[in-house]
Amino acid sequence: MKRIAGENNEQRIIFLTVVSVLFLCFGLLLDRPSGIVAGLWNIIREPDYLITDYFVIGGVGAAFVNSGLLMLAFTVLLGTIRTDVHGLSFAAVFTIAGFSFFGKNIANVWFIVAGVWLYAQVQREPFVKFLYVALFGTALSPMVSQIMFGLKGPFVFRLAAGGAVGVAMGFVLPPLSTAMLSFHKGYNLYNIGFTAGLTGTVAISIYRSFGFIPQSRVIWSTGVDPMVAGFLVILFSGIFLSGYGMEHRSFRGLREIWSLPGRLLTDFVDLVGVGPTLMNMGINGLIFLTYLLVIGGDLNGPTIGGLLSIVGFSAIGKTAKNTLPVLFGVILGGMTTSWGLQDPPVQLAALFCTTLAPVAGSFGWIAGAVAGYLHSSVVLHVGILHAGFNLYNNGFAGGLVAAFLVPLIEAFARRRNL
Amino acid sequence: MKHHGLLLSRLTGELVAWCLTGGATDVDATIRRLPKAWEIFVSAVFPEGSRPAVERLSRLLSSPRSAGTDEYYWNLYGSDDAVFQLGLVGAMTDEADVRFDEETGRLTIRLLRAD
Repeated sequence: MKRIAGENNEQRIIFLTVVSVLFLCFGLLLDRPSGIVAGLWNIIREPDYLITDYFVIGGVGAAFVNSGLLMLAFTVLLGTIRTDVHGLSFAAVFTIAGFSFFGKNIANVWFIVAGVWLYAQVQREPFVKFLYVALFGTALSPMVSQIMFGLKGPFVFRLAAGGAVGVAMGFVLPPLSTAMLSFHKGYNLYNIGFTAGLTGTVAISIYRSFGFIPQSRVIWSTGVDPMVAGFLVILFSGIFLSGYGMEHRSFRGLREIWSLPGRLLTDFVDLVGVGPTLMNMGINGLIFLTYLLVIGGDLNGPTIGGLLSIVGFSAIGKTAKNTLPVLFGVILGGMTTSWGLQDPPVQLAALFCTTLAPVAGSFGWIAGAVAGYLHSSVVLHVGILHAGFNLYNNGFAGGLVAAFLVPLIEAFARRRNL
Repeated sequence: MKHHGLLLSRLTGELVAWCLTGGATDVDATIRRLPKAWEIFVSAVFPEGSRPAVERLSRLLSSPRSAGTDEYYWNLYGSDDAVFQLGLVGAMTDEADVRFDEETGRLTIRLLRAD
């Protein structure tokens, strides 16, 4: 009665490959090859802590190529180590693709992966068991870039120090990420974000003790490029239509996905199938893209990163049903507090607040809206702890909100039916 | 895996908690070592009208084994009794057999986790 692991594995790898190639081609379409190369070099050399928009640093074309290359590299990694591709794999690869628009690049992610690999060797376990910690753990990549390109001193020393810190960060992530799950009980989907926030806070405290004072900054391009918007509409619609076609034009599986609360770990691909999952991914991408356009937000590296993370996590927890109440909470926050929905950190909060989707999925839309409202304030004030070196700052804030809110809700809410 | 004993006990505990929250009585759980696997056996008597919940359980346990979840997500078991981790139980076991006798209300779950 078990579903077979790895069923249609090739099809899933092909899907990820096609999306990567689309990103690469679109990037190459936007700029000359020499411009792309120069842009990629700028991206690599830039300290990447929050918020660093690669549209500004390297240009739109180079940002898409950087994202496509990383997506392709990690898809090849999935294929090479012959692991089965699950919804979790979609989430990890899309999240990497997203954050490759504002912090992860083809040079800085590998040290974290190497650290997790080293941990696996020390534990005498296969790397595949820690694969997803490695993939999501690349959230700490800016720390590598900061030491390599943000500090002064001989380049060889900076290269070695940056690499060593990256490996050390990757090395401590597996045991920490597992332990942190019990803090928020799986109600914060970006668990590595919470873990990386904690790790980054400790690391930055040490940095500060040695006199390094990180400057906060916001490098953020404004406006909406119609070509980029059109590309994303076609991409998300294409993902939806692929799933719709695979399901023989039926919405039955999608309804089943929407009935699930989405708490970690709810793998829609394993539980319901690839077709409905792709439909869910496409729909959520379109909903949140529409939201950005309606509020007059910006379509740049960070917001595209947010959209791709939503699309990815729509394979393991996010649905329209459980994300919209949380978004509503953030909008409510915008109407009642001192910040506006178009402020850059708030645009990001509106996208990444969906990390708390399981709260709405498990306890209803009011709980979800309260979570979103709290998140919108918390996320604006916790980044200072890790100085923006944890790219998943919303995952950090989401973990705090979930840990604070869920025990209270559980104490008074009616239990969900089995 | 370093915490294998803890994982097995929590995985079994997740199923036992699910049964008790669903109103089951006379719940029994056994964990047994087989030559190349661990067998988990849970038996419980459920009140009338439990078939939809059992069907849902069966669907969630049919989730295929996922190697990348063991080390990372095992700590989620037992953390919550509002939403259970049945899909994760499925992802960490190689075989699942769920049987339900509607007349007696007896549910039996047999899981195998290969080495």
